[in-house]
Amino acid sequence: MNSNFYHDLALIKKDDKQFEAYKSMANTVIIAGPGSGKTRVLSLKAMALSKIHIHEPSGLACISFSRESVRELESRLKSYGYVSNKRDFIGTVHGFSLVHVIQPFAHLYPQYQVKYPIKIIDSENQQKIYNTVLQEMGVKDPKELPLIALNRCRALSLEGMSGVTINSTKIIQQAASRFEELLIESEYLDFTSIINLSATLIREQEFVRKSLGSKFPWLLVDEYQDLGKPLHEMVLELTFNAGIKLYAVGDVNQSIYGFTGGYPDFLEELKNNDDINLVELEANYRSSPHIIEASLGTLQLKSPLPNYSSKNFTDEAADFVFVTCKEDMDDQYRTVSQKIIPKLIEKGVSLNEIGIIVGSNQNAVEMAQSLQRNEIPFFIAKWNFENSDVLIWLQKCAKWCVEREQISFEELFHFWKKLLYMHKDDRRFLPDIELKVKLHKVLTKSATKTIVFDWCVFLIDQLNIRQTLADSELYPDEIKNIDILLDEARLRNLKDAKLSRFANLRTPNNEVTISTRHSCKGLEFEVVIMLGMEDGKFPYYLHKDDEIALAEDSRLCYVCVSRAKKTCILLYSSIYNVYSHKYNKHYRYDQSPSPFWSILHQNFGTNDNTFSQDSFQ
Amino acid sequence: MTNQYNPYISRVQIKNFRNFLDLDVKLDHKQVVLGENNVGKTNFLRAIQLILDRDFSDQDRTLTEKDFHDSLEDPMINGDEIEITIQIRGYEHSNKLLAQFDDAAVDSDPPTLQFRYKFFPERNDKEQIVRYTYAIYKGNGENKKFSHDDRNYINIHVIKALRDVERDLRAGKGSTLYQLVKTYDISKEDLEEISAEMQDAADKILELDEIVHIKEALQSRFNTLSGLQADTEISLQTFDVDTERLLYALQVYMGLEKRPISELSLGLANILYISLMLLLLKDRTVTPVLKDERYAELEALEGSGVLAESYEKSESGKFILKDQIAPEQYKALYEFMDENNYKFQAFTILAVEEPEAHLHPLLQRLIYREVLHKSGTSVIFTSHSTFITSVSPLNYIVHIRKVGDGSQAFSTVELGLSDWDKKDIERYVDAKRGEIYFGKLIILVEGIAEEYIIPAAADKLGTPFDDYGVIVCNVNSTNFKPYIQLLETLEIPWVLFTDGDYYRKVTLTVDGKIKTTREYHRMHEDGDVVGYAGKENVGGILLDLGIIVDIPDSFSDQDDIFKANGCFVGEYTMEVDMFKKMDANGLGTIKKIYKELTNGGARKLKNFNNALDGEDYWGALSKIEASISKGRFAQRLASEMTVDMIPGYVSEGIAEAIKIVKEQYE
Repeated sequence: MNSNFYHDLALIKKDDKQFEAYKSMANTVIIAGPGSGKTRVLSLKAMALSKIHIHEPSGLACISFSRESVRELESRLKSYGYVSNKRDFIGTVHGFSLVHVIQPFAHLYPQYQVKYPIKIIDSENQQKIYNTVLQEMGVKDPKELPLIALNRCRALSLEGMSGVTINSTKIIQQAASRFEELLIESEYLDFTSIINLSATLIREQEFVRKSLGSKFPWLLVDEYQDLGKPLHEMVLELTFNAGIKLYAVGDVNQSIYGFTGGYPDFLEELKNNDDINLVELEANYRSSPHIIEASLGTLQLKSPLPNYSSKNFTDEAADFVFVTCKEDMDDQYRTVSQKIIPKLIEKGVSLNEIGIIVGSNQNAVEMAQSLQRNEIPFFIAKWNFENSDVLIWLQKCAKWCVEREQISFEELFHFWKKLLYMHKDDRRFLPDIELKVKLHKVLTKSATKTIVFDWCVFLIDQLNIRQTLADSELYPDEIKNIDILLDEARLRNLKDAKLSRFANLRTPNNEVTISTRHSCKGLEFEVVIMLGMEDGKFPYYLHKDDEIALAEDSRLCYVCVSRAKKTCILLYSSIYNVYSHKYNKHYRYDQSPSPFWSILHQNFGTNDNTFSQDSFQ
Repeated sequence: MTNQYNPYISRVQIKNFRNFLDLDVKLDHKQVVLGENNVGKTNFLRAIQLILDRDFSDQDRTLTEKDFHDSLEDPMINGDEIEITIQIRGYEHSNKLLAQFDDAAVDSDPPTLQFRYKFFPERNDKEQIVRYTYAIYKGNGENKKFSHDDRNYINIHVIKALRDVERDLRAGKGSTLYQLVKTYDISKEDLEEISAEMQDAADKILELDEIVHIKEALQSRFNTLSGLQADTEISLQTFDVDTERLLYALQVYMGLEKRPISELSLGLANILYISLMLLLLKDRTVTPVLKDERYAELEALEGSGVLAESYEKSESGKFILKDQIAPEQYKALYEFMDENNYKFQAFTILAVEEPEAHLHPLLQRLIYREVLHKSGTSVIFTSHSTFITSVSPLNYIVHIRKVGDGSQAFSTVELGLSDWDKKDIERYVDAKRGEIYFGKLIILVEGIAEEYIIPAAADKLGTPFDDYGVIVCNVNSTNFKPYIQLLETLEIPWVLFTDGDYYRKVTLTVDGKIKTTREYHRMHEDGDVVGYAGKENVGGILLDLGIIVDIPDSFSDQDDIFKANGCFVGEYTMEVDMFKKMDANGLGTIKKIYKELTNGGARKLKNFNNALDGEDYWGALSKIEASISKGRFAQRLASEMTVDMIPGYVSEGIAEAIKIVKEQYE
């Protein structure tokens, strides 16, 4: 523990709720609204547990939903002087299930039919199984029976202690169980089966619970609302049947991954459990009072509304702007690039403080192209490639090349060595030092390549990464993922980009951020620009009759608006042109604004802040 | 043989550890650490060992309250920390070190690694101390830990002052010689061949009639005892020659008579041991002997041209590294081998405590010359032997000394002397057996007379130099500057005595040109235009060294500023200054000494006495020089000194010297 730790500890002592959350030594669930400083509280807690309360050979388990929040937690812990060790686990729920449940225990219980070596299914084989299911069920249009719905159903069908039931339709249930059968027949596991299997092992096998209980006296879970039923079951089992202390952090209102099975109900269940200490962090250190009010407004929450108070602003007027564009997304992109951003720059807003939130990856790419044409530097929070372990490692390698002191070579080496071992690459038999020299030389040489594409090609080639990853059992889609990266670097948004861009892929450098709605979680900006605020697009028209999905879209909107510290700019286009392949025909139709827009406009719209594309200035 | 210089410790910082409160010292590739007993020479090494010694256990590295500096009260209650930082340079030629220690780099010009040991309190979130623990970090910051794996690549081996070299030299698996042999990777087939031959030769014993007789006698006796039991045939065997045992049975013998180690003097055994250690610690990236298959493999690689130039084939078909290889070629060879010939290579820094132990002074000098000038291994010696210091190159000295509460180390690494001055001082240090390093204060004088008189004066003044650790260094000229530089670098306090060398300026007309000349060796007369060569010399030195920035005009102001900086300047020359101060009694003593030391007649004595009585002191001195020599005279005078005889600048200077020493040690 270093001075950063004590500094942050002093900070949270000023907020009774935060300090209460930090001090709690019982099973605890923390409900943390936007901007409530939950990462700080969680990191301090993790540090204190690991340094003071957990003793060798036990360790600390920290589980989160996304790699991004794992990364954030890790970097915060590092700043407190935490040095990673073999006893602790900090990672995703998939990682935990694989490394600490399935690998050490599944072989003891043949009844679960786990095949060795453990292979994770690649997208092609997964598609094959899915197609077989569709075929057998006589479904022609995959939209009627999306894979994601099958997986959600598989996750929800796990039985256990929880009283939450969320039903799927008969046909989905049928398809899901067929899918499950086919998967068990195959030699593979998929992400859903990894977590389901691990939850089952924990539920059914006392020895597994006991071992985990001695290994990890504390279990910290971040982003609880996104983690779904299997994790919830694991947590209940471990907390109530294995004596592990639970420290869960989440926000029911920021639950936006229901389509994967991450419903807010599970967190709600923890919240209402009398044996778990509840702390609600209510202060908002990010946004102005109006933004808080507005974001809660769009949410159309069931009462009682959280009593959030703004700690950052006193009575600054809310800054909402409503811009109606003429036709299609193109007009929105153009208005943002040519009018809104220049205006913000004029007002002295730095580019880092502007976030553009769009509806899809495709929209993000188009927005980027528009910014590029107008020479506005931008940064994409969500890329086409997945930020896999291998790609994060590549980014760290790039960072070593451009800012050497920031990255430990030893860490880079250990990942590479692990990769060689996992993939039975022959080079794993070489002495460590020889491999180290090899990596060091290649990295040193690669630093002379300043363009992302050249650098990636050189590194991947010199280290034979393709050969290593060929037929990977654990990273089945990694080569494809690398190809997407190379494609991005050769032709698209990383074309001709400097290596430093790739090295700092996760942080804007005087650049406007472009994000999808889902990936904006955890970010914050002075100004948020929300595009595609049309009825039918947001909320999605297929969600109209689905109460649960609709509520999730509301929460998604809440998440987007609450990213803003001061200003929220909304755009929609009143006319859309679409081409239908089915009827080989162009359609042109009038478009009404999203209900979210309407509510916000009702509450905050005035003549002064409502514009058309032409009148905006 | 061409050498590759191994990495070395270029800087050591120690806080709160044992003798050291706050030490920061720069080191070179070879280092001689000097100091009196009990100032912390061993602890200085121990600090480095805490980080680099492979033989230290976790427990050894976990310090205790006793390891804190004495001046700290309740250190483990107050949360004090012990910190030891070392920096390493000279490693960048090895790819292995570059890769292994990437995280430890703190500078790239020149490439520098840093390791930091910390013994510190772990605190809980109420900032209370929970326990003390140690950690070793690489580079700046505390995110990268130094591991035992790192120690496999850079480490230190300390040969202790009390050592049992005989045990280490004796044959066996633990012997140094065996370890050395193992680094050569001798082929199994070669050994098996030899062992088979040995077996054959030994089996000849069995054919000796006597042995055959023994066997048969034994067999018949046995048969009668064991009755009719089957399979009881006796056979005799010599010994089973294990190939590995061939190697560790190797022993060193010495001399024509091949005396074994146990009969060697301890001194020779020590030399042998240290020589073996140095061989063992050599960088083996460039393999001295290559088997033919390996050579062929390497030869097939890109850039192997350098091999053919560097190796020659031996009669048995192996490839032996040539003795003489040009430095550039060796560099190319090293790069090639480092790249292609993977061999585990530990870089060990050798520290030898008191290598002088059991060694005759002459041998001490030899071993030092060998190690300090020729070895590629970085070596640290600790010593209080003057024989060793006297052959140490001037830049290799680290002097540990008590300053105030703690010990401080001063190093000559950055001593900026010209090569000439350096050679002069090295020769001086050698001739004087390194005494300049051992004083608590050094008095610099210009000649033999001062060397006798000044200590005698100190005795008479009741402050004998031996009691205060003051040492008089006669530099035999007035070229004090390099000596002052050396002393300033080592922060050894000093005081300087020099003659005033009074002169008078005379203007003459020679061939119609006006010339000004100086007249020395005369007494002052009113109206003289005067100067002092001694003061000019001292002023110039102090000005050059930046000790003073300006020389005042008046001679008395000059005296003040010189004295304030430790320089005490007389008026004429020391003897003359003494004569001038003496009363009749004193002069009587001089006359007596003159009489005793000359074998001249009455007339000669009378002339001398007349010169003294007539205040012709220069004349008297020249008579002494002519018939006795100043040295012999001073030697005798020293034993007949009285306080009255001591010139003012000498007594003032002695008082100042004693004051400095007292202040330093109180």
